[in-house]
Amino acid sequence: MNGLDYAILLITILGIAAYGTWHTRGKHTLKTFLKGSGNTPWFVIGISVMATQASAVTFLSTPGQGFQGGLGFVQFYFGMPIALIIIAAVFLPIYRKLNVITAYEYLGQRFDLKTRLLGAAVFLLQRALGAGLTIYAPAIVLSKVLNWPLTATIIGSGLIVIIYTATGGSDAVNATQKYQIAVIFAGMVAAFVILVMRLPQGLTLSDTLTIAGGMHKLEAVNFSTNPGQRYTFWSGMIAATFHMLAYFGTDQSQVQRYLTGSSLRESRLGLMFNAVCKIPMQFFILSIGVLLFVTYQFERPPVYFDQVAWTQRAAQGDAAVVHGIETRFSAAHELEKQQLQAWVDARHAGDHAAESAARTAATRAHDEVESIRKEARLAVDPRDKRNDTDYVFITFILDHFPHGLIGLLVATFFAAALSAKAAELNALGSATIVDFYKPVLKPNASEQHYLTASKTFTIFWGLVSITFALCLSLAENLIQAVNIVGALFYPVMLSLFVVGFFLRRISGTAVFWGGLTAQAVVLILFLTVPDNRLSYLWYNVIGCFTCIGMSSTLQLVLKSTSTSRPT
Amino acid sequence: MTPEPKPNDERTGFPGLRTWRGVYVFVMVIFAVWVALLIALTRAYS
Repeated sequence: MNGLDYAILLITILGIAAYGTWHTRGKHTLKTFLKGSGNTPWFVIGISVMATQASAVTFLSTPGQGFQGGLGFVQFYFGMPIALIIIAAVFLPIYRKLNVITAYEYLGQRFDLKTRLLGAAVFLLQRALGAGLTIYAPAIVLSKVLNWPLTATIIGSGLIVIIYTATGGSDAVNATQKYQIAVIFAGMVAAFVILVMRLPQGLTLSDTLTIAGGMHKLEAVNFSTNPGQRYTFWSGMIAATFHMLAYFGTDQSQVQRYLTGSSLRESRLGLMFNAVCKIPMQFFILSIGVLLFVTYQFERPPVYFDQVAWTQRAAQGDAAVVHGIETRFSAAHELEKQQLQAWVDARHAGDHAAESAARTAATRAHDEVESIRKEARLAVDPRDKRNDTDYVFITFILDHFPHGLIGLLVATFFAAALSAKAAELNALGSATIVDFYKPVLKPNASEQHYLTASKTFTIFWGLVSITFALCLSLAENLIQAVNIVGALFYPVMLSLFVVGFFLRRISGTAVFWGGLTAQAVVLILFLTVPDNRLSYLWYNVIGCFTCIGMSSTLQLVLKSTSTSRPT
Repeated sequence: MTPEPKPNDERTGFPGLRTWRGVYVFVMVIFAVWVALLIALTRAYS
């Protein structure tokens, strides 16, 4: 990065943060801080919901996911339209009718205080972990490739978001997210255009698709019924629907966004905007990864994209091993490139027999390249727990993009990190004040006291997430790690609400113990069943039905106990 | 007799989609089209 890149990065990020603080100056009541001024139009709600979900991980890691695994990850979003329709039709009218600030207030009104506190506590725990990941994920990648100190990157970006969220509250989150998402889309569209323009000469769009398809990168839909396979049509339609219901319907970081709408209509339209736009958006981001894949078939990529780790490996005394892998990788990649060129030439000549033979040879050469890449991965980490796909996109940006655009793309990642984190801190602060502090710890204080406490808790959670980020170390692909953390806690959150909305006869005590049982079952599954036998997405379904079954059984027991008790 | 106007929240604001059920069906149709296109892409290039 040069001076121009840093200027664009700083002006964009600090400018938007300063605007958020300025825009909300003087608008300080407890209600506006927590819920916004209540006049947000549907388009802003839609953007805000989108920006909250799409953190830096989405834009940094998803192209890497597309590069390695192809388009299959898009199936994770199949559950979203269904879930958002259920939320718009069932959850949202109830939240608005009860005029709640947090989703967990509903649990208190429907069941009792302990169930409300359980829902809010699970949210605080998982969202605090999530907020740490939100800030850690881009920091670890950007600090490595840009040679920035990791600690300073985490603390710096964390403090910026704390300042404008703690001063401006919910309105500041909405106001800044509009501009952050504009920066994000500008960056991603620019990246897509440059990638298309940089495709090797003589390669048509049809050739690109044929090569990507031949290497299994265009398998967007997979009808496998194997529960160990993470992303299939069925896990997307069933398990991901539960995941999305939990995230959009019960996670305060999202509920708070659409409750800022001026009416039920505006909130519903904001959700429908996401139901329509999310799948094409993810498809577009994954397509960037597929384009990167095709480009790197004709241009030698690093054998291991996390080049800092790779260089450290060489410096640790295994320079001969590293050199050997590099040499064999160069030869294998060159052979693959020649076979691919032969495939393309045969296609253009209309020689089907030669095309088929060249395709088989290219696939074999690609397998050899992949096996050397795996060898490099094992050389860096013999347990094969580390993943370099998160570094694919940023490596390409730094190696091939013009200055100025590099600054814009890095600003894109930071804008996405800040927009998601701001919504998380706003929600963490709100749930702490509304669900714990006000009803349990200090019930009869003044509005000014609660406003000050809200700001203090926002700062507190910001510092907790920074601390957590400083202690993190990740093995998973970043976007999958975020989703796995959610899947560990969402089942219990969702099941409390599902029982509340749809099973009217179940009481607070039954659902409270049902929820705790579901949480225990999910944690046991996570710790004992390998991911290749049961994908994490199915925890949502299993946990939800465990809670429903357990609370229904407990309700029967409680009912028979109370009817047999002498009066 | 003129029918009573619907409350603000029940209006969708779209001329062709006057009920929320209509909006939800519209969203599901778009979703189905996307899935069909993705299946077609998968089959065309596998």
